[in-house]
Amino acid sequence: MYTPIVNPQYQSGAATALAFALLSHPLGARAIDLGFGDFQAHGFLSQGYTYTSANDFFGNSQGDGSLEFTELGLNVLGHPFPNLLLAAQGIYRDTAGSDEEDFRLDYANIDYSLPIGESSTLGVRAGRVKNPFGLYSEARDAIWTRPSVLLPQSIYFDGIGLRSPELSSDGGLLYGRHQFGDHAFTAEFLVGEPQLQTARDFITGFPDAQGRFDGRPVFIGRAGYEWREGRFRLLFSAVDLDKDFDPNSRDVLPGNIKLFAPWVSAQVNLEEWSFTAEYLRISFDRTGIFPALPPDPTARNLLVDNTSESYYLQAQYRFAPGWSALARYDAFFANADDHDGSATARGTGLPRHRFFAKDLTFGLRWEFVENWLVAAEDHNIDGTGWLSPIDNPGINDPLLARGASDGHWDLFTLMFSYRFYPFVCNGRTIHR
Amino acid sequence: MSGFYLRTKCVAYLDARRGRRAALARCLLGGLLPLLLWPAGPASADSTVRPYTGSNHSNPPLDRGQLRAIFFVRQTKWADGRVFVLPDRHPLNIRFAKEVLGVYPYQLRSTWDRMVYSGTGVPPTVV
Repeated sequence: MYTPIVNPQYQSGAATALAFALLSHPLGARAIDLGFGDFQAHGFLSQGYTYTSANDFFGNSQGDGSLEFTELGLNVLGHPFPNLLLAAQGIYRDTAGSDEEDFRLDYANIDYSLPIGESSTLGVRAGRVKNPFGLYSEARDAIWTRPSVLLPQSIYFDGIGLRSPELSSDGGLLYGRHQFGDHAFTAEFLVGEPQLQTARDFITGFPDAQGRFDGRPVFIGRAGYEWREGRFRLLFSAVDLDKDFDPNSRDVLPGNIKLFAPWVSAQVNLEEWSFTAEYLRISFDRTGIFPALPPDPTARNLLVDNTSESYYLQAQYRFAPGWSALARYDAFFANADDHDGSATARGTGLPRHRFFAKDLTFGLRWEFVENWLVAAEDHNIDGTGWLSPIDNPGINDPLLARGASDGHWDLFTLMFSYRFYPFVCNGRTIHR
Repeated sequence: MSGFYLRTKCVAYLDARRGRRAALARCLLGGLLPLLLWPAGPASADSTVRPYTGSNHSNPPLDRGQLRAIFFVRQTKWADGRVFVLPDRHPLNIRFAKEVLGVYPYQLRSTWDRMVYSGTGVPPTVV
């Protein structure tokens, strides 16, 4: 009943494949016996350009714009044994003052998953693992998984210190999934140490705070429901941090920081349209740390006991093969009880626009050849709430802030990216 | 050759009438020896897309749940198994996602990309 291929059109291809397979077969067979059959390497190179009408974002972006927006990644992943996954990724990233880390180990984890019956899975992941929260957090440095050049900055901060703790943690994660028909429930729970050192200012609320954090590891959880592999999905995430701060200098007092951040994400994926919304609150409760606190209660609360609020609504439209358009409204309020920033501005002497940012974005994305894309977007922004104080010196100084920042500004960004898949397949490498 | 085939469980898919050549050519170019053997018979008369699991005779048919588990990379228990797919914009890939898996092709791509860049899974090999 089986017929060998005899179509002359493909004979040369068949002959090449056969020769290639024969040549590599001893190596291939050994690789299969060792179980290293599915190891793959992937990488991406992305270069962005940023122009702003006022304020600086990712370097000196006013005037001629800035090219300080580079993201490179290289990863290797595979199964040495059927249910055991090994994966590691190194990233080089440069976004001027807001990311000067250059090379870093993004993730390096070992993952063991166990099927429970026909429809459930339990697993454990350990090492440097990506933090399980929200929709875009885990793979955010590859534009291939982002909906836009810049993720909504109200939640996925790129300019301020909260970025690095959002990325990954050294620790362990338990995960589970239960599926019945088109429905699935998922849950993840992480205990680990996020990268707090580069976020000391943000966590302590004290500029240039030197010292170290002690105390229990951070807990991060995410639970969700999805229908038809994500045609609809709903996620609840939460971060719970409780750290003591042990300062190196006498300017700062020893203290304690508690942070709790609940996060809700929802997404509907239709054939041509996707609609996404996320909502996040970050509550800080700090004791100690500050030798002196401002007399104004609103300004004091901003440092001691404050809750911020962030959300966005996003629509994506895939109007032609390889093309998509995006519209998004993204809002951040440094104080959830003071949306227009007026009370906080009075108390701190800073302009009102430092305490919110409302960003209306329109973007276009084109994958012009397989594994190549170009994306561009315009952000019309009211507020400077998530600007980097490193790229914009003076914005946190009541005497300088009005000259150093402008509350109404536009940001244009453009990014090219290439990704490669050199598949290592049973000892044969197929370059694509 | 059959021994090689048995150890390299291949899940690809084809349109039994129209897309076979395209799928086959790509598999051959990718050096996938097992697809040199091809079932010919009454099944080739229909034009539905179905997964190719090596042989209609030795492997039982997979239901939608099992196929989703395979293509969304939740089932990885084959020690020496590989999952092969066609490029995203290939008409067969689009039909397979919609008609067999009941999802949109970009859902597969986004799941695979997230896996790769977050270190949580190994996506199928594109041939």
